[in-house]
Amino acid sequence: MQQSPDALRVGLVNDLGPIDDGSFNQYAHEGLTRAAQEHGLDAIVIETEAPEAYVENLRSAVERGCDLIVTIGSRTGPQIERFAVRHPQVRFVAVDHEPAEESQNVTGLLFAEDQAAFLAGALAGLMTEDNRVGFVGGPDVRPVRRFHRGFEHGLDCTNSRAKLLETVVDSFADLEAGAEAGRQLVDRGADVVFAAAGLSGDGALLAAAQDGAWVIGVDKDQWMTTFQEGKVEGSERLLTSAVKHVDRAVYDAVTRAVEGELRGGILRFHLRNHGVGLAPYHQADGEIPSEVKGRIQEIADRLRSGEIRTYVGPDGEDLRESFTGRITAWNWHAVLMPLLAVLSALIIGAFFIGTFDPVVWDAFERGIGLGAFAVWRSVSRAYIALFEGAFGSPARIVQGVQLYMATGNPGQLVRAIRPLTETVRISTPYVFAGLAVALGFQCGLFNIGAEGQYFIGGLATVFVGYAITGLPWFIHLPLAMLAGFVGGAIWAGISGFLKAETGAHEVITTIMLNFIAFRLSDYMLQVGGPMAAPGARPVSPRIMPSAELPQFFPANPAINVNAGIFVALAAAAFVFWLLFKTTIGFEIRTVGASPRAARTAGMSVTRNFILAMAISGGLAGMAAVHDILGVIRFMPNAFHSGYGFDAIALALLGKSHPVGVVLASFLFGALRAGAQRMQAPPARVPIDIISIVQALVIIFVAAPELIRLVYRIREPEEERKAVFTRGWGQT
Amino acid sequence: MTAIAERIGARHGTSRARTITYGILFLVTGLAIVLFFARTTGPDQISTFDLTVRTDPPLLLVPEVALPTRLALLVLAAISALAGVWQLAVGFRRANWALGSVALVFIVAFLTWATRDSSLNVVSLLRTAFLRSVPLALAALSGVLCERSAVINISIEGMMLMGAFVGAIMGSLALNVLGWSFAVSQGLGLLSALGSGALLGLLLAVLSVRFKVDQIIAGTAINILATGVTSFFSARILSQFRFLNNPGIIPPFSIPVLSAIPIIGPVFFEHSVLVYVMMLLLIGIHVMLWYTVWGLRTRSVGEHPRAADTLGIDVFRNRYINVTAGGMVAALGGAFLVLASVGRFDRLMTAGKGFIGLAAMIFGNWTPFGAFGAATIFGFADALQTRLAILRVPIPSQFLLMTPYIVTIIVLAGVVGEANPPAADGQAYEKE
Repeated sequence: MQQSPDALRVGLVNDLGPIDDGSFNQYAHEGLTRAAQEHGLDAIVIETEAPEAYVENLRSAVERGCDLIVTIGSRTGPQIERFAVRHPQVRFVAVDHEPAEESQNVTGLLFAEDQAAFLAGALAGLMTEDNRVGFVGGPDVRPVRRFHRGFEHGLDCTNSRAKLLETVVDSFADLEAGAEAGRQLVDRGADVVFAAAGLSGDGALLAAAQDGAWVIGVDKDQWMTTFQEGKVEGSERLLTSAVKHVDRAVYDAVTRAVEGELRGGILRFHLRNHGVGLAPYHQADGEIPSEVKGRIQEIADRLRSGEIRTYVGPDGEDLRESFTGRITAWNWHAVLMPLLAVLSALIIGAFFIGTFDPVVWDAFERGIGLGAFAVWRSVSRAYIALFEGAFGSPARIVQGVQLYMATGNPGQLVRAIRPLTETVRISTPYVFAGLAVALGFQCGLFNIGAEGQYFIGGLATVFVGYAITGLPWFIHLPLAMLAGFVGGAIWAGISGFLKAETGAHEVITTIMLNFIAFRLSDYMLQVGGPMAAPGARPVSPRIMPSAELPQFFPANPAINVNAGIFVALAAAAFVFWLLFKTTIGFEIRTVGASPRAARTAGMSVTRNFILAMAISGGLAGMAAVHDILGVIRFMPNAFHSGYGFDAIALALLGKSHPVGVVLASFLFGALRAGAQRMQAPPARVPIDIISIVQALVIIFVAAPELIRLVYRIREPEEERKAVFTRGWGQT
Repeated sequence: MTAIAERIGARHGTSRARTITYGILFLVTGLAIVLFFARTTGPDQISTFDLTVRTDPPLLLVPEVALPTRLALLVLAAISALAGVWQLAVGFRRANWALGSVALVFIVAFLTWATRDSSLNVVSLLRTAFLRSVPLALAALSGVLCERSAVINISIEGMMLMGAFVGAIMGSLALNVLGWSFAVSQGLGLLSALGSGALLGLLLAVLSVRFKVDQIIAGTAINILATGVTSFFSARILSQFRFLNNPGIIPPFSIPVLSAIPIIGPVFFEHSVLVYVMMLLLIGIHVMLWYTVWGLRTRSVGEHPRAADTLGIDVFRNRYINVTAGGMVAALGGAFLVLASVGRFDRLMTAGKGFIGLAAMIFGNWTPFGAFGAATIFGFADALQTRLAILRVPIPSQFLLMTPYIVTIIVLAGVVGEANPPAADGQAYEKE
């Protein structure tokens, strides 16, 4: 081993393809050569011709005495990590690779692709004439995602009316498929095309440029490489390229190593340290108006100074924070589909109501016209009852307001808005339960046991509620709520623990725990049971007034809407913050997306499973907290809540997003509240119609193809298919 | 690479640690019998096991078995302790069978203790246990059919509920409205139930195979749908037209020779026809899975659909057929509840039996006979708790009823036994 830095031996092992590939291999080589010349290093290069030979080549580099090995790591990250652990004396510098936390001797070179792409997008937005811009993405890896999102945001920055057409090519090396994708985009009207898909992307650019669209290259200055300095047809249509200066990065890393300053971890390259940027305009220079150039220069400066940000996360996620920003960036397709799902479900529900009504049958016996009228009356009556049961009768509310204005007596007004308060009251536990399942989904866990967690949370909260006396409310109430949360959290935590430690599938363990919880609460609350009140009814004692949730209308005992709704909304805000603004949430979502990737990135899958499941169960427990401390004030035996399944529908409908879950909860709360009125005369529709509607909503949301088929909606270019669950034995 | 090796290891592994765990478990069982049961028993207490069936007239007269409680318990304790010593010293070749036997010894000990100074009719207990296990076994068989072709079916519950409902309403319609004969009406009820199960199975298959919906979500939706539809009609129609919910009960039929065997006869062979259908299905599915081409194809689709596809097996078709058949088997379980057990449909009458069947399937390691065995254990726990109430055993029945679920979790966690689901279970298959 050579210790002195001036005799440092450096090796380059490329991941695949020749060293003069006009891409990262070549750039890395250039950077390395320059560093070797400047610092007098001994450099060797090993080309990898087949993926199988990669590790063998790393080994031969080590055997030939390299102290530092530079390599391209976007595809070979795990191999590098495994290899590096076995050769702790050698340093590894890997382009596009995020080292595992525990690795000591791997340095990853990461680039702010989003900044380069942001500039490209801004330019595209200024250059497009038809307001249609195309993007060709490669396989779903982080750099591609960052390019994609950065481009989207940059486009949005200069031209909010421009529409982004997206296509994905499932390979980095399929010229033909890329070309096809490029032609398609032009056919669909794109007049600027940006591609981040390796060789496939080159194909797309060539095809699009030859079809007359403006194109923007990626990774390297493609005018020099793909368009061979203007020798290839279409080179005049290349606006610029969003470049990653891999050569500079490699040079920088090697220089640091020479100076003894290279450490493990990540070196980041962005606009400010000239690690990324736009390539010269070359032949297109004359075609780009000077004010456009000025604008791009200005945006680049402001990005550099931090005045504007790309709002792209490390995983390519959208970080635009402002609420209005979110609304405008809202994917309307994503809203339309659930709405259509609910609408379709209600229509089928109407079919059930109208068809299976004895009154309707009688009417049909007397004549078709009468029958048709009876169907209309049956359905309209039911849905009017549904509406009035959910939101109150407008006429009565107006009357109530008038009376209140006239006499100052709010009694009738309060009675008139009772349906509305019922909707809020019923929605509150839905918010908790829906959040519980949604949080699980985000971590790739299917918490089907909200019901059992609800029981255990209920037992815990009611126990603290009645057994502890003499506390002021501001201590007793939070304590009782905490008990409910912890109860549910422990119950679900068992499943999380079993999943993490043994791989036991949470669907089965939570179902089993549901039954166990049911039996346990049956035992506790049966007449004479440990937690039963004296007497012949199988119920718990009444909770102390100091543990009750404050009511909105304490004067009217028929109205039970209470402060729990604020807790629920706060819980939704908390889940949102946790999931999208904290490292914990990022880890949970990463584990949800791919446990394997998370593990490679050094995250503890075990810990995240347990944590997510526990929080999820705690939220389910909070549903019981609301129902017991805010509504019934004791716990009856065997109260079938049905939250377990409802919650799944809510999480699906809300796309596992806290805001979506809240909206879905109010929708279902309104349906349930309305169904109570629908059950009463004159409509007399069994409340179970809501279950039918719910089931259909789940089916339609989970199988959007069905909705698209019915309403003839075109499939969006790219729909993120969430993996909710895996088979029994897999993690 | 390592992951695969670990999985394979897990599949064939009766590891050293587990061998020791089992040995200690057997020893502890023996100790527990002594500590909890034998120690609290007086020296002259007697446990009486009655082996006759109180039929009229009494057909078979089998003598009662009276055991001195404490002695019997000590013998049983010794058996488990010996098993433990053997396991630690030599090791059973089929450790899980040994585990089952020791568990059985424990249950017998428990019953002996519970019956001290009292009498327990064993035959009637087993008979009830078997009857209660029939719907569970059908549910579990449904699960086996679906999951062997890698479609997780958690909507067994909903399919059973639908089968029960349709069986009740169609049977009643034929009997009470159309005035058909009893047997034909029952047959129609049964066939309609099977049809409804097939439809729901097909729905699950379409959602999970064609639309590639997450199978658990699809199953959940079907559960809610079945609950909603059956409850809706039950409230809207059956409550008004009572004659639509009265299909009658299929009378029991004693199998000529077999029912004459003491003990076994009354336990297994004096039941409704549907019970025998379950037995035939059990054997049929076992033979189908392991001795026919179709079974081989099904299992290969469940383990490695890509390989199966390469060999020219139509993965989609296989899944459609198996899941549809699974739906029919589940619906049969529901129809059993109405046509052979209760005689009417009640809202939510399956009460979680589908989920218990699912647990039985896992417990039985995705094999028909394993699932059936597990179902009988669940049925036994169910039957036992009513008996224990009569015997005034100071254990709350709820805890007894909890035991099967706890055991399922333990099995699933791999502490004892081993769970080997089909490798592709739960994954949608995409053709390349």
